[in-house]
Amino acid sequence: MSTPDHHPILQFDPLSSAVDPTFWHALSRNKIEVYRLDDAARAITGYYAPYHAASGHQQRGAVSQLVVGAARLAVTAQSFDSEDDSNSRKGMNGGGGVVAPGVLYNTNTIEEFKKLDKSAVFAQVADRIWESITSGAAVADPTLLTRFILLTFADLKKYKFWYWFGFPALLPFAPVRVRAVRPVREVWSARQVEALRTGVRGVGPFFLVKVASADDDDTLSVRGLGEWDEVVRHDESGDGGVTVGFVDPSGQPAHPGWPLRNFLILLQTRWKVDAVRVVCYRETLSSTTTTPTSIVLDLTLPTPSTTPTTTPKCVGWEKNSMAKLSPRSADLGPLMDPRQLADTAVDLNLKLMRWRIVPTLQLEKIATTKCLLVGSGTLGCHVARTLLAWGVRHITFIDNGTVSFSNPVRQPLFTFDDCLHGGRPKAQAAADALKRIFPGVHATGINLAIPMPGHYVPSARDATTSAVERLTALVEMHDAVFLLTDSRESRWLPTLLGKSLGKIVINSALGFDTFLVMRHGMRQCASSASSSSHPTPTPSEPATTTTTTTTRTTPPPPALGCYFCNDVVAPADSLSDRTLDQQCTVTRPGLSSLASATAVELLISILNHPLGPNAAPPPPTPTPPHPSDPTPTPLGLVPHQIRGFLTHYTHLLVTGHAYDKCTACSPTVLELYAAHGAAFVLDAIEDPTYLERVTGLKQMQMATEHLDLEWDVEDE
Amino acid sequence: MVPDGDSLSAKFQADALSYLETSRSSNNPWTLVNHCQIVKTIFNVVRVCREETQSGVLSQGEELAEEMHEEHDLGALPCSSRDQDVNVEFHVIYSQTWQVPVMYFSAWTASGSPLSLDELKAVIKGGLPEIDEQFRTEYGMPVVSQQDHPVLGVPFFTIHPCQTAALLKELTAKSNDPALTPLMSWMSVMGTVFHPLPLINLSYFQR
Repeated sequence: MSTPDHHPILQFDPLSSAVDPTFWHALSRNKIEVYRLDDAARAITGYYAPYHAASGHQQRGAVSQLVVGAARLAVTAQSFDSEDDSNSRKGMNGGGGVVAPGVLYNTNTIEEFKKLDKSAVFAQVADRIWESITSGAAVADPTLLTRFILLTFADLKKYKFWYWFGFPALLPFAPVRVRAVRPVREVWSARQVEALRTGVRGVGPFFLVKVASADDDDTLSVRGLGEWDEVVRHDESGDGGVTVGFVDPSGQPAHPGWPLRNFLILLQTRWKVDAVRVVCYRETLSSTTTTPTSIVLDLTLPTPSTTPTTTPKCVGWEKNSMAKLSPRSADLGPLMDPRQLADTAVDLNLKLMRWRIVPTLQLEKIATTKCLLVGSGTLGCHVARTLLAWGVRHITFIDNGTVSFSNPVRQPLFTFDDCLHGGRPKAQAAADALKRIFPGVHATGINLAIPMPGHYVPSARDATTSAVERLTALVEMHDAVFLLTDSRESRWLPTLLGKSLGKIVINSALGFDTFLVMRHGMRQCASSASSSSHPTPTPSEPATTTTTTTTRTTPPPPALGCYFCNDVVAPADSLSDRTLDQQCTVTRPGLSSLASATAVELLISILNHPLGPNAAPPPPTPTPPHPSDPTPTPLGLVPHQIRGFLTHYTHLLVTGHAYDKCTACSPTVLELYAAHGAAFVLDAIEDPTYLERVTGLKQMQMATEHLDLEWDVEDE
Repeated sequence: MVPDGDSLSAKFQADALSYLETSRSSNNPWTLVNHCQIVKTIFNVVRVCREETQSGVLSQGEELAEEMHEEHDLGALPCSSRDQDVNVEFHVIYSQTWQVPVMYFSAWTASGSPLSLDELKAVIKGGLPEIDEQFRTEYGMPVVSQQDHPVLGVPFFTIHPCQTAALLKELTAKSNDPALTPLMSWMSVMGTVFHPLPLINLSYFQR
């Protein structure tokens, strides 16, 4: 063996594993249904194909260019199919690819994956490859030369997979030297190249090439390795030497792919080949009749005089993406985790609305708005579901009741089972139901009695104080508060807290066939001094204007009122002296979903208005606005109050201004709360007249006669 | 007579076959999968430099600190690049419901980890994001949602088909080339959507 040192050492392009997501699906299914805890080695099949010039495509900035892609060995769901298809074992499959036999070790735990004696597994496969070479089995079935290893651990709870491929290559007895590398077209004629292309399709991944020696006979044929004696003996009479070829997954212009390594060992060991011409068969489909990326190598193989008796040293563990000899991982959560799937699907579905109808829709703002629902009954259930449909992900329920048998038919988050054994706490049951509908929601249920004026229990002073503090903290940590309880006085404290803490407050209340949905006016910190200079409404005429009846315009818009701004009495116990039909919310059943949907849509309109909760309501107009009138924002008007009348199937938009004697939102009340906190609330609760005295309502009452409220539609 | 679903899907089948014929001469032909319901590309591979993508699976580090040492090997070509291979696969499936072809697509790294839509948009630079603005207004085309692939049963991204019929009608009205089937016209639109991925053989349209 006389190898001139000036010829460079041949380097082989390593295989790069390409795992199709369907492989992980199939592995998961097999693990659960077939393997279970059995971690015995399994036969699998890998696939590679002649390098395809179109498979390298790179982008850098705006420029895209073709580059050399990796030499891929792929595994897919079909990799688990049994090996009974001997046709595909021997040769090329339909798509022009070839199969490689592999062995899969799937461990049951990550610890076993780490502890697995990888060197032993690798050596075992190397032994089998060597055995197939020395026995001649690889001549009959050359795919045995490409035997590979795959170690896996499937974390089926997190849809995460750890894996490591090994592509064992027996090390040569001495480095292979390359005398020449040429494109195939420089070596053979176009006719011969075409003969090569058609020939490879019928033969297999490793083959012999017989080139006619006579100058006038321009032919080439591709033969199986079994025809060695005939082909080579014939060829040796000429000057062509030994020519072989293989299906080359590499696209490197000067290097062959990894599968050639064991083939060269076969040539050296079995036939004592010391010089060989190798065609690395690749494809370019820009013109199917040529294979210009194929290369031809002239190699010198330093062959030992005697065949070694033991398996040569072997390399070929795949490096990870950090170029280390270490395992890789795959995260299939986005494809396999139903929670992540639901998350993505809900988001993309909402985005369709943005793409098609409202390009400026602020879905992210909606999704991140934290909503507090005070009351988890008919209104609370419907509001929560509509919020969920809008992609709101943070919803907290407050209620102190339990689910009763009359609830489920009207309150869509509850079922019959929630009523059993005394009934589940409503807030918790509602939150649980919401999570069952959409696990991506952050839903919490708080069992809490809202402290109410006129409902004072002396022995519960401490409990009331802590309830005030709890509610304050809850309002503080949310962005929007929905008032959805079944009594007027239970809305007083959340109204005060919402105003005081600068939160969006949406209030919804039901009559028998009428409903009210309103947003409370925001605190105007900067102009608190000037707001007192606004003309205050006369006591005999509550500060209510409707878009249909009033043409009054005030240049700086006055602050918007709250639920209590129209009242001339303080909230008090409205439940104790009532008959059952007055205590329960007796309403037409369709009303609550109308009101709840309207309440949520009002919040969405607020969030999407450039001024948010400070958006001005539509100015009063002599006639009701027509649905085809243009609106200042894509989602339309942001009214202050919507009053719905089921009797006439109509809505009325109303604007009501803040009342400076309001028991819930007037500056006096806010200042007292700021100064005394829970103590002020306790005072208000203990003495129903306290609020009337501090706000001046009492004096006003004494100065006027009783009033019939024109707009008392929310009377429960 | 209004054509029924079967004759429409037969029309799709015929158009698909003629489309395959034109794509056969391209670098990366489409293939017909099952009884003419699917036209499918083999891998379209995009290589992404790690530094170009900051988030998600593309830059996901390996967490299992385990390293092995192998025999010194003069014969291995050193990996020169840390680029990540990304496979993007396109399936065109005829929808019986909408009676139009529907584009399904998915992308994953060499490990099989799927790319999110945002990551995919980063790969298709200048492609998908454009549909949000210019493309949407031009064709009133709703963009991407996620649905189970009707044949494979795994989640794929899809271009919602609700505007496709209108688009096809418009394209057919504009066209005066009888050889240009509606499917081909639609594919040319899809080609601009996913540019610069070689979805279609542009040379056919540049005659």
